[in-house]
Amino acid sequence: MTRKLRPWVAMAAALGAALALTTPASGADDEAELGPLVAWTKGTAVTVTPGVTRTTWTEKIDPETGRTLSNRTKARVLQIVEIDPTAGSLTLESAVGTNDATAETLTEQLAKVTHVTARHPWAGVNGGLFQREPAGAGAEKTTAHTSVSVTDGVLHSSSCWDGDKGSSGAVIQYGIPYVTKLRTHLKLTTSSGEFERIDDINRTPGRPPHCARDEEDQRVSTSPPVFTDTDEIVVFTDDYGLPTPKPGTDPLVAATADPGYEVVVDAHGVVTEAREGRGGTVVPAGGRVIQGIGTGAQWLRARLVRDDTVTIGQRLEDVTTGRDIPLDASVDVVSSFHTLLLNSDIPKELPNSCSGKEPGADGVTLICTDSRTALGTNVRGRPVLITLTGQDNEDGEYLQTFAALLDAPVLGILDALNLDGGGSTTLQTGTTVHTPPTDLVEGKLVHRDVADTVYTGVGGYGMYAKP
Amino acid sequence: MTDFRIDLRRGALITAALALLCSVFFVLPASAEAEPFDDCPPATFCLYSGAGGTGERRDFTDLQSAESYGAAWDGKTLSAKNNTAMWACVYGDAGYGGHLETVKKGAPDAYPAGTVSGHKLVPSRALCFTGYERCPDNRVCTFKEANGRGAMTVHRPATDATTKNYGNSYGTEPAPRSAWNRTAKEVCFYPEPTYTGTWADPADSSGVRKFGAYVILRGDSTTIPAPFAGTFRSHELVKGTADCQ
Repeated sequence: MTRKLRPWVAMAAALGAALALTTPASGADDEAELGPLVAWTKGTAVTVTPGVTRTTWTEKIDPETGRTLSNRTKARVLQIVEIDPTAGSLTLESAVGTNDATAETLTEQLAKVTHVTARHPWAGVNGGLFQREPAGAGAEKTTAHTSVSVTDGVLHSSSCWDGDKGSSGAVIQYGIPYVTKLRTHLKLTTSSGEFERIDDINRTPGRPPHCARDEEDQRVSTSPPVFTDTDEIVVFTDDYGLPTPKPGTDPLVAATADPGYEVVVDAHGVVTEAREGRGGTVVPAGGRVIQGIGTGAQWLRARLVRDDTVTIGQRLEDVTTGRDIPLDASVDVVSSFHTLLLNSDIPKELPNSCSGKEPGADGVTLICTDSRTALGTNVRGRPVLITLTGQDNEDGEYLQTFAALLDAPVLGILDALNLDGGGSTTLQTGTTVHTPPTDLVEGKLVHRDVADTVYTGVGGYGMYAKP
Repeated sequence: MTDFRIDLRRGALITAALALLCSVFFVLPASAEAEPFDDCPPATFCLYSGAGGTGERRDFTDLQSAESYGAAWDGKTLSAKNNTAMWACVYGDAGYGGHLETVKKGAPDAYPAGTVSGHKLVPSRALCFTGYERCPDNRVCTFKEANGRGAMTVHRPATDATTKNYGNSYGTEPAPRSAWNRTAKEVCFYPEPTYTGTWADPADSSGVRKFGAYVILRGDSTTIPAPFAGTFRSHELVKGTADCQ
């Protein structure tokens, strides 16, 4: 079991090995282990509950210059929650809070995991990328996932297309996040065997957010990134939680004005309603609502009437292994665009991107202030929840530099997926939030509403004997 | 599992130290002879009965994991080569239990005699540390070790003739250390085979308060903590936890 080291680490290791033959420890060893974290100070690990610890690394400030090595006047904090599933009764799961269409703060989402105080999650971070749909969807705060999202086996969004290569995600099952590339295959089949591709789940037809879902999707906006396709079929799940979107969601995307066609399906796959127009429908328990626009509407209109049966086929393909991941109730998935670490290597395709840049302490060099959230595993096989923020302000790092920070040997992180960052970055243990609020609402800084969360919770519990 | 190779970087450090020693003693590899493990085919995980890729060889594709090898091969492996694209997880005990070592793709490994009883091939190293994936859907599975590792019992729900409880009584089989409730019902575990019994609450010094059931909710997999670990003798499946005894 060996690992290819980068040249500077290998050199340091070789030097360390030579010295280790004659001395029990050395500074070079320490520096090699710390890597870029040599400019940070490790705090004492705090035990949240047996098996869950939070460790904080704080950037050092040079007392002479009053600056960090990264050209800042205020130190940043890197927080890592490590989860040891052998040390306690622990789970690792994702959740969407009240429903899939509504964004909420991490605190609100974690509070909805259970109404029993003793079973409140031990720790959690915000989850995957998402995009708000315009208020024309019929309700404020309507959200759509950027890529694959699954909760308890229910698929909430398709993968990004990316030339049919799929998109990065973490499959969370039996307490382990498995970072890989994922691709969804969605198909609507009638009782006579005719079938059509489903474009997506739980978002406005005609308006794929953030990334193209297939080669037909065309970009119409870069900020925020929005695509369009005039011919689509979109399915809504019963945990969507709001009435389905009506025409005219986004005045800037013409396809969303298509009146379309809507089909309501019950829990047994039987069509209970098929009608012209769409929107304002509450998805029946266990059922689905199917909306079509353009040729998607024509396909539905020509084939489905009341009392027909339809099958909504969903496959989640692990592109890495070429195998399907069965979507049973044990499966959760969170997604984003970028894998940060894979087998302790930074993927070559990882861009050094940053949305928020500003001059650093020298007034010249630009620093990246994007806060970061990540989900990964370490050499002990334990899941880790990670945030990088300012202490009381939004701050972070360029993506590649963040990956290099997580690749510090002392952290022992092998695989890591970048999650939604910026103002979305939130970390909570118990009922305490450890990341700063970033959004100004009515003159007050608050934590941002997010689409979903990854958390470690109570796996089992003792129940007192009945009297 | 306490003795796995925990630090990839430390492995590199040791390799560097060995290289340094080799250079001191002028030990050079033979260049004209076949490299060790050369006979291991592509896309194959090879186990050898001799050190350094010698002796009898057993081949496995990346779809062929083995909870045990049987008497003919158990404990016989002395070296291995992982030519698959997966991580190889090598276990000291059958049922993915005991000592664990992981082998990166393309890497060889060596083992003392009698220490290899099974392996699996997984796309992520972290998946070596759990064995829950063996549990079939709609079943309660219990495991001899923490985190779904070790011998697994797949419980087929049955109705107890006396109590009419819908669950399982374990009799004398080893009490589990972890469990996965992969059903659509809640599970209540008990310390007696008769779906009864209590545990003292360690937090109650008076000894009055007692637990009457340990609950794992539908879909959850977990290691079982003290005072419940290793004590379960029966369980029942219920619609709601209020139905626990």
